[in-house]
Amino acid sequence: MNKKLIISFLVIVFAGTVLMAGFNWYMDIHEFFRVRSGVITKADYDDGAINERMLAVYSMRNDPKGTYDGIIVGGSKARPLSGELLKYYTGMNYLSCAAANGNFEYYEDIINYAVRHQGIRHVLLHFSGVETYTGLQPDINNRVPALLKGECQLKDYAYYLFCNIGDSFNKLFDEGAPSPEERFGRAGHKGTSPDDENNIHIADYMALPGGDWIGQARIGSANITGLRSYYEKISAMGDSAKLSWCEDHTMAFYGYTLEDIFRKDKLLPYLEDNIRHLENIKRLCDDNGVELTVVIGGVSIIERAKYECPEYWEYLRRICEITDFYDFSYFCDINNNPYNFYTGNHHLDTISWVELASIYGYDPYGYGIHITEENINEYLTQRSCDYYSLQEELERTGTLALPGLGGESDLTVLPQSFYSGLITCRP
Amino acid sequence: MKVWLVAASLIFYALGDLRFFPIFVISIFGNFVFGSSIGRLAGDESKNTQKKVLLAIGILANAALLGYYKYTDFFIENFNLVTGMNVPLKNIVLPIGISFFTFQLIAYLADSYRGLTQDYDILDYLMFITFFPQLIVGPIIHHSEAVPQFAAPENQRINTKNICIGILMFSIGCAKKILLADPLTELAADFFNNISGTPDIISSWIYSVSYTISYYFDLSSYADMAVGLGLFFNIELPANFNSPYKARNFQDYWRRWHITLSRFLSAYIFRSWYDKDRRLHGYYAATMITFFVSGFWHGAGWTFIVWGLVNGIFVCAASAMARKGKSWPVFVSFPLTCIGVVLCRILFVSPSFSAAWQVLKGLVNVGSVSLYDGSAYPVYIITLIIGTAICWFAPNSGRIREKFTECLESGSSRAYIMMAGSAALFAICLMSMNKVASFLYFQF
Repeated sequence: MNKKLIISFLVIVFAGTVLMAGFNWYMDIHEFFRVRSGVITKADYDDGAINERMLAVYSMRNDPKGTYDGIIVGGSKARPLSGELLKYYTGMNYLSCAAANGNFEYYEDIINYAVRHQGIRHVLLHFSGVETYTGLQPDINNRVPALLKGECQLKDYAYYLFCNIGDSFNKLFDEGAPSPEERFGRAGHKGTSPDDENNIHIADYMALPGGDWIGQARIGSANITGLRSYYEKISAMGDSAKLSWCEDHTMAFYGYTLEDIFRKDKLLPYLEDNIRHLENIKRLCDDNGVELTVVIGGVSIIERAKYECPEYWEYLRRICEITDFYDFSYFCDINNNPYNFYTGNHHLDTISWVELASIYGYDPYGYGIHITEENINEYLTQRSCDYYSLQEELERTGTLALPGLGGESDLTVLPQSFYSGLITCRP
Repeated sequence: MKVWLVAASLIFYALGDLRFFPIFVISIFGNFVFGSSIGRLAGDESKNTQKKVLLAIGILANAALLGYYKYTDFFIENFNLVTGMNVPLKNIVLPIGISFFTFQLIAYLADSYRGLTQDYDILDYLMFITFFPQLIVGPIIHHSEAVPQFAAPENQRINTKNICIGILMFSIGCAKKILLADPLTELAADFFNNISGTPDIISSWIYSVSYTISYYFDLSSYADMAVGLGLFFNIELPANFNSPYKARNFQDYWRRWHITLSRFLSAYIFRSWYDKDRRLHGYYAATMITFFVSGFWHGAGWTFIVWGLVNGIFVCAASAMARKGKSWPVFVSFPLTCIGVVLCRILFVSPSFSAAWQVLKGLVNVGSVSLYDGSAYPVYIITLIIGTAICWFAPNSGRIREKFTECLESGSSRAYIMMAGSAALFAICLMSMNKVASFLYFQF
């Protein structure tokens, strides 16, 4: 009897596992099997239930070599940098490989993959200080695909076939995701820290350019460039909704973040790793004749609380020793205005567009500095002066008189028409 | 088989974190040398001083190792606090399982002194320390119950009955961990790690109870899996939990909760103090010292120490009532004990006293009902209700095991039903493996 019991246990476990793996394959809630075969729906994409790393690497694998002349690489801040927009400046075709929770290891891996499989000629690498203090979060949507690492793809098959059966059941009984408008009703909930985006529903506000997109499209086609942006949703809001959004998602953290900006004991465990990966990226690009454009994006005063310190400035100097870069993270009115940020860590799309314009010489706002070995010392001196002068102001007045706080609070400090304006500036 | 098991267990440990493997190996061999030396002197009264010195050195060395890895930063923090200095923290990573195997090694040394370990050969000793099911998070086994089992020749044969029971226990443990503990811990841990201000009353109660329930399932799941794995090798590991949330007072609770730890502390801490002074206040002092050690063992922080002392006070109170022959009716004592356990758990899981205080205030923050943000989604609440119901009303894994063993021995067809149930549970667990979190006791 005992042997029969053991055999029956094994048979039931095996049969049950096969059945459930089949169900996972059929539901494919993480899109692995669909993305692998080259198909993704807009609903899947908008849903946020997609692994952007997977999307990027399979786009390059599925499309013939030479489809893309360049790639845009970065974390969530790089999402609004669209391939179409960059094409206006350079005339080249781009794939955006921006992925949530960006990290330098991914940046190196995806550039390496793009060089080997697409023969790209240009990389626009966009990051910020976030990568210095946070590593890759163990979320299924951030999972690094085996293909990207050059590992056996069976690993991915096993992972997605045996992933949580409960999620597949939830999807089966899901009566359809609520519309963004319905979800927006929940957006008034305040998180408990600047990083707490669980309640912000980023995925609800992602939109693709070009409006409606029905049915299925091939990944890697012109329709998907990796652009995931708040632009459409936020620009569609009324003024009061915009203000309330900003109050809840940015300003809610403003008050108790100020003192943290000037804390000296900031923990930046990824500095060395980032430098090592950047060196590898630079070497890889140089060896393969790829132009590398490094951009440090705009950051809010709130985000600075995590990493702005002398150690970080030294990190910027070391970056400059590796490559010149375009910096938008310095202290200036655009960055200091909390209303230019839809969360503590994410700026408005318009800032991304100005960044590109500035890099290519069309910026009417004077935003951004091209940092080279010639001006890095002057730049860092100015940055530290600005920092200490804000610290002195805080100590003296108990607050910071930042732009946007005096009543001119407005999410659209940069005009929405800027996007179309840029297009007419095409060289 | 023994050599193979020892090798497999050592590889298992090394896979956890290779950096600590040399420390682990040095520690177990060093203790064997000390234990053997002390044991050889056991029958010789003239060498008592030598024995005592060796025992003291052995225990101090173990305590120093544990102290260095576990408590260095705690002492630095307190030193900084008292002196106003700013000595940087070491941020030392704790070797896996050190809190558990250190206890076993100290017990081995103490019993070597008493002459109880002379017959052990090195292989049995290595099995006792390294046997992989209990190596990382216990149960804390005593050499007297483990070594004879390792030495018994009949235990080195395949026993299908034990394998069947082992499968059942392992499946129950898996289900507790993956289907109950992890889902409940996820939101509760988020809540406790992000306390800023007094939370609303509903969140405070939901997440405090959740953490209390999830802690039980997390710890007891590992114990069940360890028992199941042990049975595959015909080794009977001791049960670690016996429906603790059915307890009617704190004495009863501590007889049911983490039984092997309580047993160790009772034998080696409580007894050594109580034997010195067997009067009533000696009992209370020994109890408080034991719970102080328990709290400090659980974590290097004042919240853990106070948690231990609060538990000690509750146990002393229950003991005082019992001595006077007083007891409350079940409908009073049971809910009071449950509430006491939840309050203690709040202290245990809070990152600081102020966070714990905020949550305690949240529990009575009556006017805040409307502030509840609905963060505990329906499936979470259902899981919490099911988990609580299991704690209060369902038979524990020990009882289920007894029932299954009866069915096996009588050839009842119910054994097939129970095995099919455990197979279904195990298959579901396999399909949820990508969401598994570390065991909560790994941090200790």
